Amino acid sequence: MAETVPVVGAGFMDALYAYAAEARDVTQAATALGLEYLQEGLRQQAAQQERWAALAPHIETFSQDGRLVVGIRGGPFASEAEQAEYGDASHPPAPLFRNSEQLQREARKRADDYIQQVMGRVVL
Amino acid sequence: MSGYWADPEYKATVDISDPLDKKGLLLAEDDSLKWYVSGLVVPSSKGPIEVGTWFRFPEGERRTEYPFITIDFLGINPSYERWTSIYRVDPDDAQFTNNDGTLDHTGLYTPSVSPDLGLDLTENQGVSVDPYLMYRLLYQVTVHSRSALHDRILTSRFLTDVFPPRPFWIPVDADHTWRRAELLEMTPNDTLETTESGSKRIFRKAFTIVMDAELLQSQAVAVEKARTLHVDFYKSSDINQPVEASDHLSTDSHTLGEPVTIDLTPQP
Repeated sequence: MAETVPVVGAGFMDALYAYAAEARDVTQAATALGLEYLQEGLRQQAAQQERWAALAPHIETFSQDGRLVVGIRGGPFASEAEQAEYGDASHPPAPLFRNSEQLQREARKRADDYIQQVMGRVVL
Repeated sequence: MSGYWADPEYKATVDISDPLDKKGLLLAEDDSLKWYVSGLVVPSSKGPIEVGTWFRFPEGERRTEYPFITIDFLGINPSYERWTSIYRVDPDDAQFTNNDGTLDHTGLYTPSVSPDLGLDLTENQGVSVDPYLMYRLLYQVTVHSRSALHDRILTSRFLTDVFPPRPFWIPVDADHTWRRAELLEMTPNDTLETTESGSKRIFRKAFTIVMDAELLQSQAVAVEKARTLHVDFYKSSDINQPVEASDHLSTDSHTLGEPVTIDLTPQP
């Protein structure tokens, strides 16, 4: 069998791995930045609505079943939040989460701007 | 008070003196969505029951007959990704169909108000309109039932026919357009209703849908068409120097409509 000759230089893979690690770290930091913005924004909006004011401090971002979720998890607050979000016979829906499109857009932009600032281009 | 909106000559885009016309943003969409989800029938031991549709809950003085459907308007958001800077103003290109899909007319329209712009144009006039801006209307359609059978029948119909798992189209009669719509989520929201005779179960399924709508940036105006275009070519070795009439490449007199031969051979 003929001797195999490496096509790629020895240092190339090391540099590639280092770049991937940097991109991973920057992406995680950018995501955390965006999530923090989203969480705080939702809490502020909730605090200004009568039906959500008491639930505002319990709004958080978390991971569930491998998916990123923003909302209120568990306990009596979750049930109360569901009634507020979807309404009932006595109250119309007060869609805090379903009307958060603008906040989500702004959070995404914050994350993209951070990546742009650190790495010079958007990776996400 | 000053400004465009205070101009006494300005007329509102839509005359809402008669709201029963159901013309105008949200009026037209509300009416079309209610029509779209109305007419469902469920079986019962007492015969077929037509499922009523209400905006919000029925008033207290009305006898609530289950099952019924409620419609709640949740919000309106700009669809920035579909805001374009190019808008082709050609009255013959846009096709508008009736509810049965047959061609109704071609031309431009006023969103949510009218199937046409309502401009009386002469032969020498065209139309200028700024690009319409796409928005997304968010609605919650809730199905309320007293029996599990009715709840399953209606949920099944909604998920397969009314709000299928793919984009669907809702006809709007006000402007003869078909609006793209999508089901965002279906959330079970069953509960108990406490009455004097005890607690009764209420089956509720909340469907969140999004429906397209377009907003005007400004009113459409009639513009005079350019009927002739006269082009003259001049040569100048220095663009910073004023062009003399003697530099006109073609000194031959010519009339409009006649071709002019221009010698573009570089001069020494």
